[in-house]
Amino acid sequence: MKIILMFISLIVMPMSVNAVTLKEDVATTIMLRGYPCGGSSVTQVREKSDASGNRVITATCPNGLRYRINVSSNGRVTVRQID
Amino acid sequence: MLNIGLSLLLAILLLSGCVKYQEAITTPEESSVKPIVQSPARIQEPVTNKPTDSNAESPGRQSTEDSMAVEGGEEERGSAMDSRSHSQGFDTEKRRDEIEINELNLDELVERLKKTDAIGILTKLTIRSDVLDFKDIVDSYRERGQLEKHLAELKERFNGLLLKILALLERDPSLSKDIYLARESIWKSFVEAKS
Repeated sequence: MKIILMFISLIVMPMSVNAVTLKEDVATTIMLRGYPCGGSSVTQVREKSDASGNRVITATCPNGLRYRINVSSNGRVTVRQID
Repeated sequence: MLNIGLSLLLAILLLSGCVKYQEAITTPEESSVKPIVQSPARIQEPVTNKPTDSNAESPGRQSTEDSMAVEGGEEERGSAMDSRSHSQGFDTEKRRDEIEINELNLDELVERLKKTDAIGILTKLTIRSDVLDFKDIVDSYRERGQLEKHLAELKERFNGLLLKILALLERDPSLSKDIYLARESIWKSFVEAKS
């Protein structure tokens, strides 16, 4: 029974591998802007949007550093480290 | 009962996997970029037709070739011409392929980049920001009439940006390949003066 379930999980697993999660996306963005992150995924992701359409995402990298990612209404992305 | 059901499910999944795998093997021409895959075989063609290679590889044939010396000269000339025509054909095909690649629709590439699942939306926006920054730099140099002077520096910067994008598209090798093949067109689209 366990063996069958293992087989099924092995078959089903690759289907979900391709999708990029928000946590991976945030980590990639931080690293693309030249900041150290220490891994390919972040934790404690919080997202806020204001009335003018700007998005602010805060997240913690595996190395313990916290970052704020600003996405302006015209699509410009900036990353800043939070002290 | 449960065991039978599970084993049936497993069998169906395995069979569907096999069918998909077979389809992938039997239809390689569906991939969007063909020329580069075909080129190594074509490159070898002129080399194998060279008369000097055939002499070097087959010393046993020397005596028969000596007895056919008169004909051999003509044959050699013929094979040399063959190889020349082969290489010319290869060159024209290669040039045609390059033109096709250069004519890849840039808008289509942008659309594919927007739709790909290989990278997330934030990463796409970051790439877009980088590209817009690069475009701003090119435009500012153009306005000041210093574009020609800074062309090498800009090309280096462009190559870095391209490398970054290609590395990010690791999960979409087809798009990555097409962007790489269209790199010169992309570069020209930045640098050429807009009327």
